[in-house]
Amino acid sequence: METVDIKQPVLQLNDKLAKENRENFAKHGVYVLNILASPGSGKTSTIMATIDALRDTYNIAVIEGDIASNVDSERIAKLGIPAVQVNTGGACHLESDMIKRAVDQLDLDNLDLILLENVGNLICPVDFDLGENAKVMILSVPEGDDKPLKYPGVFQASKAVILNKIDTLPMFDFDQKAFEDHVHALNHEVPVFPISATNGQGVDAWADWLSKHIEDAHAQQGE
Amino acid sequence: MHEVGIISGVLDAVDKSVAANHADKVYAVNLSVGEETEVIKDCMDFAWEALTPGTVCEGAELHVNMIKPKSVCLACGNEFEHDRFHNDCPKCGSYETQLIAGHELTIDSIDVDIPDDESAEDSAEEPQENSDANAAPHTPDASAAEAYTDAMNSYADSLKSEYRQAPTEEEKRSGDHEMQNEKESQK
Repeated sequence: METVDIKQPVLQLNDKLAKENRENFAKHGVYVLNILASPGSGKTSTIMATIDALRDTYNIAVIEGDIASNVDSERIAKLGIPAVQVNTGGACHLESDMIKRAVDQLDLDNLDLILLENVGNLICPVDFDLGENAKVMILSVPEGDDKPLKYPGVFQASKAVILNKIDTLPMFDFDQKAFEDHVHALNHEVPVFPISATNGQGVDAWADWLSKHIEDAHAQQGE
Repeated sequence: MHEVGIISGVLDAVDKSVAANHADKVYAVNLSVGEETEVIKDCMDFAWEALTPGTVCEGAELHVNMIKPKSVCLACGNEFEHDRFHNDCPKCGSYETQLIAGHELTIDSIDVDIPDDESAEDSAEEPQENSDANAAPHTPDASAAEAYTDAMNSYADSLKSEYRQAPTEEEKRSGDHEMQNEKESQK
């Protein structure tokens, strides 16, 4: 018996295509956000609120990842925003080749921002680079303030954390201070944006953060 | 259960390596997996059992070497091991730390039979041939990936005694096993 060294990343193919996606996005000056959250946390509503806040300034497209159905992409398309539905056919996360194919259906020359809605799952999508500029995660108040303790990976990987459904705070036993402390213990400087996607509360601060990053992507393209 | 996708990737890589090395039997596949990835060893074992029948890896063992997270403090330079939840520097208390181990997801090696009827000169060329075969399709990332895995492997070697020794029944019950169950329930 002999031992043959391989020494290669298991996700080499995914990482290679992610790198190609990233280069493609940078070439076109498009900022890409990979949005991670549980089912029912308000991903699509948050995307719609974000579109509402930024559509006058930027050209936006959405890629919707779901195990099945095109319910979400239809909601986005109704807003007059280009939306591509990716059905993973049972897989629990998006992979970079799916994004590559979805992006082929978009006109990158005329886009500033792509919002990638990953499959509702706090675990599996964390390990898969899609070529995005940043991962952000959404947690909603009814899910509980202890989630950073249970799913540390997603909180560590995120460049921003959105706390959605803050209009329901009076109904739930959710300690916002404890939540933010848990988040910052895992990811020291990550900004936390408390919002209500449905009534618009707090969305401006989140949109400002995003605008700044879109501008940075534009500036880097110019260099 | 993204472990199924991960094992599929492993099987593809093993296929290529087996072909490049003219190997005819695979005894074991050796992986390194950092504890800060979202990978669960039990799920990897399950995916291995489910996917290997009918492949070159049928009957082969999957060895998963779990790597503990380790960070370096950017404020004071201290290197320290930690768990998934605490990456602040235990020496100076800074949160400005950078993970240097614990995020691996790497195929280290395979244990195979290479038949004798390959001529002596062939086997002399094998190491070179092997590295070419691996490097060629992955040119952009190859050197960085190799440097990374080398660094990671030397770290893994330093922990070998701790990880490669079979745990006693008591350790299994009180340590790893309990953690696996806890992770499992999160899934």
